Amino acid sequence: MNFDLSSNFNILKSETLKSGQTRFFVSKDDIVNVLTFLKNVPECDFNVLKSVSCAQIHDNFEISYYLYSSKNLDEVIILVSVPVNCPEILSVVDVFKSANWDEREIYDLFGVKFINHPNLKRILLPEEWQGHPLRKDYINEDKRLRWNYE
Amino acid sequence: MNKTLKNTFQLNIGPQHPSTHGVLRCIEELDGERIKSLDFVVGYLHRGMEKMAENMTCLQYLPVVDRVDYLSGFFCSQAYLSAIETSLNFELPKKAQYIRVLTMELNRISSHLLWLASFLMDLGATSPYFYCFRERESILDIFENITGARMMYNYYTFGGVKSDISAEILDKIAEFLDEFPSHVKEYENIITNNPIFLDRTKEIGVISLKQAQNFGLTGVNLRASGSKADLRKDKPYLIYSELDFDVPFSIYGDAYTRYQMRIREMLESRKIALQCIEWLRKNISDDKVNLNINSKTVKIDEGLTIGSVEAPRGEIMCWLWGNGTNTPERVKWRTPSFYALQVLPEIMKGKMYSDLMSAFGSLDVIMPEVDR
Repeated sequence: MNFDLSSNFNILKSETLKSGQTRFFVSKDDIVNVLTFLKNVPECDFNVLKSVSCAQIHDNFEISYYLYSSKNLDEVIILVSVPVNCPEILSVVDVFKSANWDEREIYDLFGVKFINHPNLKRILLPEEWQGHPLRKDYINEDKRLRWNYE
Repeated sequence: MNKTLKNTFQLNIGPQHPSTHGVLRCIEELDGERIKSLDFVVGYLHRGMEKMAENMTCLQYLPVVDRVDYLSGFFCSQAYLSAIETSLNFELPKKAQYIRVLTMELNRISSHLLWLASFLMDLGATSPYFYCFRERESILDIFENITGARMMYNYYTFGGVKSDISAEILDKIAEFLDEFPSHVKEYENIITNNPIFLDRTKEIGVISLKQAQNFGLTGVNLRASGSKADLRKDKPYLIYSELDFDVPFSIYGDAYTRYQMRIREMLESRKIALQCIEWLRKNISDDKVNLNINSKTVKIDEGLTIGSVEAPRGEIMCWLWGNGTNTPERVKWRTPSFYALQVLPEIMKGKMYSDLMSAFGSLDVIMPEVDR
């Protein structure tokens, strides 16, 4: 890893996963700037966003951005934390187009709102679905389902 | 009155359509025969794989994993198990690693064969279908001998594979691999220089390297556009670093190139499989194929681990959050088709409607993998 992220941004925590990737925890307001920095600064050159994922850890959604550099064969994970009671974060579609459906999926399954997303609607579930199934407190109360009949 | 005639119209394909490789709905805005915009409706095959994982132990989830992508079940198992095995620091027995690589490479050949058959079927050629299925059948028979199942194998287990491969099965695989190049020649004779095929695939669905990287394409789709990225070389897992093979790549990025890359990749897979067979024959007396772990008691350590694998369609990643119990806190699947499908509206803008299906087919998108 031949770049210095901490001189430009406030890194809350960093750790190395067992599978080898380094993970940087940044503030959620910085996310677009961090990804733009990592994409455009020549020493970093992270030109591929392989995946965006989300997990609910207690009262926070942890959104991870898996970046890959095809030149340096380097990979890094940027992690941001979004509170469950106010799930809003800026969209990174302008930086990486592959984030488009990823963010829609996270919106669909977790209910995280991505501000400035060009087409934020449900993707895997039907549009009339209620609730967000991957939240830990999700209960399927859809009255149309047989097992939810009164 | 300022009313002009609207000269575009909407056309709907699917959800039930033979060339959508599953259940996919495309909504197109057409101007004559040119595509003005394209929109996909996915999710018809959503089975809630990620939600299921939260309510099961990791052993119960193991057979489900094969269904993420039912044409390359071994790869999904490998991605899932490699996440668990890395998390628990399991060192696989050498023989188990060779068996895994052998089965995965055979699986890659069978998956590419099915792609070839259905791609040519989309373009209106029926005979390659029968040629490809003839060879695919032999591979599925081999899998049936090894694992007892033809598509949903459930053969890998925590710390290895469930059973050993006998010498007879190795002979059978070797026999198949010996005659496989002559079969590939047969396909090439009917397809590669066929003028109709050339017309329908050359310079159709061109993806530039920049586009491919921006949209997160992986696997053959990326390598056809000029990248050499292949996890088996860049970040070798199992015993890939000890094997001798090439990664075919090209720069043109059209449907025809993707076809060529897949044909060449099948032959490379054959090369890998032959090396595995050679090793397995030498070590036939070694019978340690797993770590004899009681799968019921496997507990995943706290924290995130990622298992990634180079599958036929690209990179499958399994993100696994453990919480110290035998049930994962969360599992996330990163599947290559999800990204390959996204690129299509971009590359088909302004192109002919009749080219849509050859571009779509060449990307090797499979819907269960998109919807999970």
